[in-house]
Amino acid sequence: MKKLAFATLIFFVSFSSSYAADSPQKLAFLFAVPQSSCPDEYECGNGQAAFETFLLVIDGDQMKVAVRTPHLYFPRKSGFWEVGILPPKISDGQQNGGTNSPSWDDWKLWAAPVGQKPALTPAHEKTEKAETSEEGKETEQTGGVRYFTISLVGSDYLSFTDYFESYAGDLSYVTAPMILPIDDVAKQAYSEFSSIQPWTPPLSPEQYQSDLERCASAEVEEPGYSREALETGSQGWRIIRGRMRWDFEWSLNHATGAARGYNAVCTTSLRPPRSLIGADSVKLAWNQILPRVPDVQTAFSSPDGSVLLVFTKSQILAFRPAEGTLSKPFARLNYDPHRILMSQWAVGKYADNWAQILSQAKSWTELSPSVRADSQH
Amino acid sequence: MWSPRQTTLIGLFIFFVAAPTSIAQSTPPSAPKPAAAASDAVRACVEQLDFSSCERAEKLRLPPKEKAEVLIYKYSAGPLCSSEVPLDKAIKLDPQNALAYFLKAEAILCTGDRYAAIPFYIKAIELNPEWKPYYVDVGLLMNLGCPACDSIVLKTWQLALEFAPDDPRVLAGYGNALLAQKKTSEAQAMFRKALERNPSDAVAAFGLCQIYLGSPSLGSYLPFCETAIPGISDSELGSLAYQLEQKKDYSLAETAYRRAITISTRDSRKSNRLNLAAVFLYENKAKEAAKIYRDYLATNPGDAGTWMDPYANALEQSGEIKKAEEEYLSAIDLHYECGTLSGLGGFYSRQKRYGEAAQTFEKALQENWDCHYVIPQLREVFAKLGQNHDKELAAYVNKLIAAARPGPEVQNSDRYYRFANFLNELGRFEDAALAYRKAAGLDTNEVPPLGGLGEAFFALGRYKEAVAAYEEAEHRQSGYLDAAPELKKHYLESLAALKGKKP
Repeated sequence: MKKLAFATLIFFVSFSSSYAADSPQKLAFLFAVPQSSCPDEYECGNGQAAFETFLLVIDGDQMKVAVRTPHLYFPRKSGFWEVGILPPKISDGQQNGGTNSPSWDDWKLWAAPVGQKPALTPAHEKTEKAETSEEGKETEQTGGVRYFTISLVGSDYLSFTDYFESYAGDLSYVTAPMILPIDDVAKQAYSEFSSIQPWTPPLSPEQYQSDLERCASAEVEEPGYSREALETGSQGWRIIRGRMRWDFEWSLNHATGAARGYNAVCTTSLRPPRSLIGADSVKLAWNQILPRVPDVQTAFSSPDGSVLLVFTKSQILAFRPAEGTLSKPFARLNYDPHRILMSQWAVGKYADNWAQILSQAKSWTELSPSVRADSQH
Repeated sequence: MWSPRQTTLIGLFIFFVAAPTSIAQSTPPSAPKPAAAASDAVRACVEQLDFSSCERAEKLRLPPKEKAEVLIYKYSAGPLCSSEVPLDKAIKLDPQNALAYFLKAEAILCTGDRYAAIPFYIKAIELNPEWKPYYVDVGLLMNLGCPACDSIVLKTWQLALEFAPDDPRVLAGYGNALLAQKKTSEAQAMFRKALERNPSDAVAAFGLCQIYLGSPSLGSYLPFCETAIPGISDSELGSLAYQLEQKKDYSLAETAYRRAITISTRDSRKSNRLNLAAVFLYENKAKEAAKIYRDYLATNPGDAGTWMDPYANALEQSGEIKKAEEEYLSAIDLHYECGTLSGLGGFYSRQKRYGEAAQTFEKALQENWDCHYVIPQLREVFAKLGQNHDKELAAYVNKLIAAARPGPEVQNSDRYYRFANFLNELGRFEDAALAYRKAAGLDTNEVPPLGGLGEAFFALGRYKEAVAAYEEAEHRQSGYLDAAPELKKHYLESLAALKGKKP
């Protein structure tokens, strides 16, 4: 593990080093997606193998998949980490995820260095709470639906959404997007609202009013988009991959009351800061990319701008932009489109380092059945 | 390009009513040239996809083509699969804008209507010849099923091959189009070419796997199916595994189901797991099968009536006799019906507990006399119990017949037909013939009762009446005997018997 941490640290330190002008440096692009053929990531592989991480290595005019692993691995200053979702334990006669089982809402979002067992909040704390409160009892009796979806994993923050529908009492439909510090998730897995303080952007009253105005005047006829509904909704923030960059998604939702279930998703004038998403910008004008690749879904520029990766519905195309324009792709790979959840670049010898480290990485979920069983609440 | 006839066919698609623009005249999209005052907003919109700038630019007074560009980039700046409204406006402002048509096709595809998306893609490609490599995508869409595309799909693939010869999808896609048009040998050649280029091309391998599964004389399916399994979709895997199961290639069927389980969605994962359990039973891996059924029942208790019985069967095969009996009994508790009772009866019979087996089969028939597949099992059990039980069986059968016989108020063809089948199963052919005749008379459109009547007379050796019944059936429905080979055989044997030859 020390070796792994050291190699990644070197990458971060040398990231801004200069590049040889004549021969293109070897590059590696690491990205993660929900697992193939998995429309709702929580549904696949019992949440443990719900993601896939790919490492593309670009060497000269060649691009290949050097690593493909059914885990969400990502680099941090301390080395490679893994993030995952742990669904409720399946027990006899109970379904996973949306049922009347006593632990139907016992989902956990965890993060830990690769190979290390994550800290997981013991489930009994919540069970005790449920048993001692009238509301909890009712929730337990009537069940509900809950699941998590991840939309971004950066080096220090991740963004995800907690969907929670309780059939108990007055019913509640919570769509809670949030941005959490990974260190906090590592200390205690996220399992309940407010168990970890989410990060929120500083939104000035003027920006709030202007963005709200825009959202209310958008051509959406759903009741959640009325000015009144927007003004009274709870704000939530998440980060999703847009066409050119990681973007904020601002939502205003109603969990309870007559408007429960209304969830408006609005565009915002705010951009996620670099502390959340790292260095991320497509170094080419979109009107140079779109006419060339009209089915582009999203694109990523290498740190030096020498390579542009264009993700389409079926392929990943690698271009070498020249003077702000694109010619033919120099390499391509077949690819099933998915939402990108994480993206990182490595340059030069670190491209090989990453390939080596990740090809040998073992998730804690694969280490020993007893470790996993122990963690299943 | 398209022949006049094909152009007419394409004209069926909405936009081909207008005369197609020639390639030389087409206008590739270009960056907008906005007025100086608006240039900042427009540039931020089209270069940086800044949504606010797009909104500002949309409100500016711009020439139609530039306004169309802004609308297109505003659409592009929004979430995937947004409303098509800005694109429709853009097409109205600039009907020759290839990007607007392309993105409109993408937006339609988001709604799942691939058939409606195809003409927009074609229009976009015609307007911008640089996009001819996208004929591959159009061809792939057509391959998914598009009734009006039959006559143009191969032409589309020829264009795809011409303009995107290096696209890794083109050869296998073309092969699939040829296969769908039953041009098997050409498809085979195309798939082989694809595999020469990329030996792990799963789509091409799946094509050959399909061809050879259907025609083993052409070649061995095995290497191709093996290559296909890691790269084909969940639904393709399900279908392949089923075909392999039919071929009794349980080992490869297991591999296919296992792969399908790892990539399938929740609903299809359930069925893939249950199918894998069935394969395990064929492979004498009853313990693995039992585990799947146990897990399934734990998470789907509502389906216990259907799956408790196979679970018990798997337990029995794996030697867990006591547990199996418990599960058979549980299945009956959950679903007291012929199926679960006959499952337990079969279990008792295999355990040589014939007395309990007979009682259970009797209960099954009491529950539902129509459950006639139990009768041979019951007869077998009575045979095991010995001669003394013949009378007991006869008495029981008489009681059953009395219970099953339709009352005088029942004038329903199907009810008589089922009763006739029941009698036939019991070997009461005279009574069965009467019931079949009654059923045939109650509904003169029904053919199976006449087939049954022929069978009853054939069993009785009354060949003349059998021939008459079979011919009456054929008269009611031409081709009926061809569709029922067993009946046709008996018909021909009856005719032969009438000519003095023994059937």
